[in-house]
Amino acid sequence: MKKNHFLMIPDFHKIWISKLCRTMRITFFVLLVTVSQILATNLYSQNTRLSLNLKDVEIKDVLQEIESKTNFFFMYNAAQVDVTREVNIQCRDMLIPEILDVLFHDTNVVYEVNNRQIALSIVGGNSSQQVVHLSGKVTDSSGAPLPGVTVVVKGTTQGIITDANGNYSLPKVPADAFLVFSFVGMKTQEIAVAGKTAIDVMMQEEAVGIEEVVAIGYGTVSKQAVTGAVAQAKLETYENVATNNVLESIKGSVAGLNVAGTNTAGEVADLTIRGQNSTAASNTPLIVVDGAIFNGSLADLPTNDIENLTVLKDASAAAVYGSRSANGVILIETKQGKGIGGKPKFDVKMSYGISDQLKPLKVYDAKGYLQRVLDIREANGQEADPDNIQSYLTTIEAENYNATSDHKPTLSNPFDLISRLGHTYNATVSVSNSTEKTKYYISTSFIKQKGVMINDDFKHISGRVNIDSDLTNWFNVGIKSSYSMRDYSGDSPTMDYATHLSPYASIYNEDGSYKEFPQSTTSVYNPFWAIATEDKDIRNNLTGIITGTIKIPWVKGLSYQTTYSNSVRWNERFQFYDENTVKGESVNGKGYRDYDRTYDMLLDNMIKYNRTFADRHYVDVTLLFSKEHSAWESMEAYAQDFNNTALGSYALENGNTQTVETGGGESNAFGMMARGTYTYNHKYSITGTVRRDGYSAFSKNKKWGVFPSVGFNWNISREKFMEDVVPVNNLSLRVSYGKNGNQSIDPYTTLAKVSTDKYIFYGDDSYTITQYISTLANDDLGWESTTGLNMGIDFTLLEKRISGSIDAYKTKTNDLMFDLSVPTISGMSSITSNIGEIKNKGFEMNLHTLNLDKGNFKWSSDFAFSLNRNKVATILGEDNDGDGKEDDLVSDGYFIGRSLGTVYAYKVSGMWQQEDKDNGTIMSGMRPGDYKLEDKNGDGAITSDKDRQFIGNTNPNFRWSWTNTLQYYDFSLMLYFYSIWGGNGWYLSKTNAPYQDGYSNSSSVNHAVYDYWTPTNTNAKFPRTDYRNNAAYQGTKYIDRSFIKLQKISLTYNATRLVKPWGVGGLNCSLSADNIFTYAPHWVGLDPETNCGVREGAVPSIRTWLFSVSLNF
Amino acid sequence: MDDTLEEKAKDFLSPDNSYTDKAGFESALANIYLTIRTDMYANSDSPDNFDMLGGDVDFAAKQVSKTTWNEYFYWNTLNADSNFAEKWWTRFYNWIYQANTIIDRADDDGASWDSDDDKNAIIGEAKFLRAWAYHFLANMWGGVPLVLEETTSAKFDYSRATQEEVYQQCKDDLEYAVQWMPTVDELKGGRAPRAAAWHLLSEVDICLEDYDGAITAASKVIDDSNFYLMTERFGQWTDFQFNGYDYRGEYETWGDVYWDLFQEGNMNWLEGNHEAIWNVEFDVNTLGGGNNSDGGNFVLERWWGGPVAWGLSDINGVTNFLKDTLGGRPIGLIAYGGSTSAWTPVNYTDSIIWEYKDDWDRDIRNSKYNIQRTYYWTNPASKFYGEPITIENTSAPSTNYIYNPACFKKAIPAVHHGLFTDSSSGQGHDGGGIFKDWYLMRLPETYLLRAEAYFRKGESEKAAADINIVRSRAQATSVTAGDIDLDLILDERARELYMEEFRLSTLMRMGKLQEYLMKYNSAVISKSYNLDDHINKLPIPNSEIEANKDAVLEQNTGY
Repeated sequence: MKKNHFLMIPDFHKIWISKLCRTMRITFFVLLVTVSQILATNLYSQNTRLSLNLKDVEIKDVLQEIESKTNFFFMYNAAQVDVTREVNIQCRDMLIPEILDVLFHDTNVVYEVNNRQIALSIVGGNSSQQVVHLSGKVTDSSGAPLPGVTVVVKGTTQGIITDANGNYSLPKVPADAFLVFSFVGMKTQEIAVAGKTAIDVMMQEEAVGIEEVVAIGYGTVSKQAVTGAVAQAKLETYENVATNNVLESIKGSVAGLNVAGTNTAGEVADLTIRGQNSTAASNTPLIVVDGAIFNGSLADLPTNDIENLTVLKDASAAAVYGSRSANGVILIETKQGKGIGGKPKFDVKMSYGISDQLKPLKVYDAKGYLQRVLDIREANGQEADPDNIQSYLTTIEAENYNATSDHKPTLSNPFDLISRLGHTYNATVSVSNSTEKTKYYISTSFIKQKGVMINDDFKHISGRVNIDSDLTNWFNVGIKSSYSMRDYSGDSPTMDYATHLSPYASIYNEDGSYKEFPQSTTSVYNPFWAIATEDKDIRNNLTGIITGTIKIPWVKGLSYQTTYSNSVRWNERFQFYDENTVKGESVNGKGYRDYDRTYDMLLDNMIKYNRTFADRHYVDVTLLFSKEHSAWESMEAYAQDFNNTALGSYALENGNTQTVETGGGESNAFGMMARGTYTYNHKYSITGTVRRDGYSAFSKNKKWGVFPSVGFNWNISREKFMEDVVPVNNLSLRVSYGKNGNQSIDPYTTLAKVSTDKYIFYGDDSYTITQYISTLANDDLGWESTTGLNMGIDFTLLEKRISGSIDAYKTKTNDLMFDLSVPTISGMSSITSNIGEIKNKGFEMNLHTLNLDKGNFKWSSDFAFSLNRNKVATILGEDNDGDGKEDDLVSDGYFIGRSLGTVYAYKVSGMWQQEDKDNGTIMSGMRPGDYKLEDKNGDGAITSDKDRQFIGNTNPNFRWSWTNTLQYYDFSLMLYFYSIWGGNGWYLSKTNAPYQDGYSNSSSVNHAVYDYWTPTNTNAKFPRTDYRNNAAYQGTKYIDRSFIKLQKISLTYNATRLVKPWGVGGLNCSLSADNIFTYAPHWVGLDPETNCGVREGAVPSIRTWLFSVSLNF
Repeated sequence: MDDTLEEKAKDFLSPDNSYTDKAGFESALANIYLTIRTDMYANSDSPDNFDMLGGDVDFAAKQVSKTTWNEYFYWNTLNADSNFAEKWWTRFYNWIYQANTIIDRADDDGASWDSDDDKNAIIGEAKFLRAWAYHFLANMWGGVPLVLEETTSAKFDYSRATQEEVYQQCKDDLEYAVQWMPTVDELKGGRAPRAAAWHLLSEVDICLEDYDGAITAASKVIDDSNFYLMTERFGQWTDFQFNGYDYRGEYETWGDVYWDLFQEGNMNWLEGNHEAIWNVEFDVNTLGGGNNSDGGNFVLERWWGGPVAWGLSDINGVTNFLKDTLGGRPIGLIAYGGSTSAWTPVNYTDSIIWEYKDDWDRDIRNSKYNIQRTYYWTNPASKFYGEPITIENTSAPSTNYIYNPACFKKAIPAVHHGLFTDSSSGQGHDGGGIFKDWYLMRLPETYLLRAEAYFRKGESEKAAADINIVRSRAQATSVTAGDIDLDLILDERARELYMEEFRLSTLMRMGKLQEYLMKYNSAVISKSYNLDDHINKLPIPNSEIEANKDAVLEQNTGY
């Protein structure tokens, strides 16, 4: 036997171990596998030992034998590799590579192991070519050296493994060859040698792969065994771009996860998963951080501390959280320790940015303002003579108007007074390490954001310490603690007041102080009079989670795990208004101090058992008993009427009138859950879950609920018949069915409640506390439950060029917590009841494509699409009008068979014009310039019972997002588009109606510029100025909010190469912009995403330009 | 585990531990008084706050220019979507719910009482308040659903009783109330005394056409020695000196007895005002004294206090001054723009009623103290300082001139608290807020109810005698039996009780709303609306009909 010559591997065994360790670490950090599961999934495939005893068989038979006994499969070109050669082989408990070494000893056959695939090929090479001696270093995406990477000259078996420092050296490489770099868990890369003698490579983690492990709540499972709709957010897309909170990073990345827009500093966006299930109860998903249910704000978690964010979208996936999972679950894992070759790894990220208004609200300038004064007067039947304009102005306006001969306005743009260029600073520092027994991750981060309006400030300071240690080889303890302080202090002047300022207003008194009424009229305050003298708003969150895991030594695969989480959240809110403010003026100053504190405790006890039998039967059982407790206290001290306001809220005792309000309460919950998973040969998986929950806030007859679910996964690509379907790398099918609950009901709401107030009788020194029953007892209010069916496909095609998943679902929510209108004859206006059924169905697709991969240029995209339809199936189930169809609940806006966002209103069919009046067709009570409302029954009047009709829907028709990453050498460019689309009556809004804000007909109050009707502007979008005041019948025109937004651009330069000589592991610089441009063909107003019309107080969205640097060493 | 899941309230009371003794029930009663104050006077800073008082009926209109009035009620298109109808329907039934809770729980085992008298007095007061709410419903809607028990679970099958049944229920409640309610001398100001129940019973009896009952009931108040008309000047302001609306004349003793009736500190029975039967209480910057911590929304002065003389400029552009003495800060007939039109008196209240029997200069209710019709330049910097504001000396008169409509001084305190400072004059004002204890029931109305009963019974002599008691205090010419008709009674109510009585309810009770609108309402006249008499009753709100899904609530005819 000749010495094998195809892989120059010094010590095969060592490499396997090294590779294994690497795999373990990466998988651990990236995918958070528990130790036991690593044993279950990874050790199996790579540590498989085999015994063979075959005589006079062809090599292909040996290969077949190996395939049938293991999960490995072989790929080779039979024209090249001689597999008909007969051999004898006899071995006991040998590793597969060892067997292959024996098998191909003394031949020119080489092999390459890639996951479970083993490729056989022939050593080739054209010796006449020019050769170079090539060397370089391979690092991971963080810049850390990567040992154990296989480097092979493409098309040959010439190759080597990188050493402990990630270095490799290959003699005699053809100058025109390509190098293939591969490593388990990383994307394989092909790089042209092109005559170079040094090539450094940064490996990227593989997103989709058969080995991927997914968090599913109370544990993890290999992707292949996932039966529900589970999606992981691609946090790495924004890795080098600073974000204020993780919501910004995940927006649009997961189909069906909807993150709303924001427009003030530090604002936390609303978040929903799939459609709207509930009407009265919350639609916010449950958030679980490091295994513990999290009641704080997502903004408490700095993006950089988050390793992984998983969304459980369907019933079966979320069912482990039973009673509170109906709106989906978001699982977040924070980072764990990770070092560089045993040394601590430091990460520093800093960014600075500036912000401006994406689309500022425009108010009338001097010319427009004066014209509007005339228009309003004319509309109201008053004299409107342009030559007499100054007499229509208020005293101050007239003075300023007459101050210059050309009537120069005093304010060119009132927003200049209250707006500014925004700034964002962001800094994160972390250090982490991983040693044999212990891992730690310590970080701190700081965000300072100044919004585009004065006093719109936000600060976030946070710190985290995560430690995980194997105390013995059967006992592991982890502690994850974090503190976050968000500071929203600073009172912004309301946009309303600024919107109202006349171009001829006087902001200052002669002494330089702010004039209370800048344009005489007392309807318009100086915006600066509206600002609180003192404003403090601080929100703290301190959380500690302790996890203990005990592997029961005498039963293989059995472990006990406990999670104990404590969190305290406390808020401080102070405000003071002195006598020179709108609020403080009439009461000689007023202020309050508000403190509240919430304590949350969670104790989970879990028994887990997982084991693989006979190589192909994988069993995983989890049993849980969970207890939750929450308690809160609050106190507010209020005072007004100060002789001296100098001390503000620091000395409320100086107020002559003082009140104190205190409050508190608690809630408790229990949960018991059992989950079992069985997987056969990585091909078929079934998971069943049942959870029973008890929650104190429910009424006394309905405290407990049971939530079962079941799911299947069939990995079709592992079937024999798929072997020849080469374009398909992976294909699996999922089906799940289950029931979830919604417990988002506020504690104590089912108890009868007596509220109090104050009334002072004459002859009494002090007030009497009054009392009344404000809430009726509700003994039967219980869980809302959502039952859903989900079907999904996961696929990887064309050598992983295309991968993704498609899900379709159908859910129905029963026993809705519903604020049912009752006749007010009863003294009540509504009562919360469990009634009705809402159905949702939808379709979601996530697609990752590698569009172009040519040498140093690479273009990949991620596309997400989601669509949801909901409808009210039944509400009360009554048919009082006897038409054989259930009656709509018009009073609450619910229509059987229609969506929850249905708009049932008068239809604006046009505008009444002068001709209508002249020819007598105008409706009584209406005037030219009033909206023409469709008189459905033609009785000449508009009444709500007869003339309302279905106009459309406020829900989106569909949403999509498209992220493109282009890489060229060390540059990468990311472009992210985001869209919510309506069309055909979808996604309608009425809140942009500029004539509804109460000032459209006030000629001494400025207004957002809009297109209103006048006798000379008869084609206007909006009605005459006094429509709201004087039209007998009023309707609103609904407008489509459809938009496509260029949400983010970032250009990143990876400068690692330049700084490496100084011992820096990685350096990235990026230039990025957020919220750059919005295309909204129908919308009238500011940002359609935030639903801001052209009304007073419409707050523009913030556009941010950011420069970020991240560095690790 | 079930023990842990049981909820025990920590920071709020439950009905079981709060409706248990006299103090608890008095708290519950106090809340009805608070609700009435909020609903009727202090809900919002807008003219809507006072829409039961006759605004846009025959007293006042929303005037936006010399010739333009905007209707508040859209009389010619009034339908079941009317905010007004829905608002008051809901409010009245809320009072009824609160009263029912007291009535039911007072008799419950959970309530302990020192004596049956204590309990009956509480029940009596609650029944009075319930009857007060129901009488409005009957007057304004006719027959409405009768709810007489505390609502403990949702109900969707209400149906209408007849109007007579509703009045009869009021009568039953009031007959109980007059036996047990405390008398005025036993009570703090703000609580309804027994006399209030007699007063209301008189009106209800008229509706039931039991005129003798009405006369007896009214007489119980009139003959009560606790109550008599104030005929001499009284109270805290008898020495008040003022130099006239031009602020330039000689200081003179200001006011008359009718003026005294409406000054802060004079309006409560406990303050020596023996006409005051039942008040609503307001106090400045005092907890429990107003609708909100900013000082309350009782803004009668602001929305019904006359024209904005303080907002004008003279022809030289000099701004007029806002004066804190007897000036107020009204915004009626807005000078700028036309959006916030307040109530402006219509011809009926401005002049027609005062011309009766040539009493313009005799009737003290029309004295210069009580109604201002001339306005002056008050800024010393003005060339016209001290001169009347006229069309000639006003800047942009076509826009800003104020036409000298009447300003009812009832709404304006003699001297303000000065919560705000006017930037031009530096004088204090209250931003249009007032802190007087307004009247819910006042003795002259009892006389006018008895007069109505006498007249309807055919005893016009006695009716004239009662009316003349009211008129003679006002130094107005006596009327004779031959003068008496319902219109005279309505006119006399207007003269004596404008801005006090719930005019809309009165006109609807008498079936006179449509007629008076056609005759007097500026918006209706100027827009030539031809109103049908179905508007003498309000529509049942559509939202109620929709929510009452298990039974049909018949709509009133015409809607």
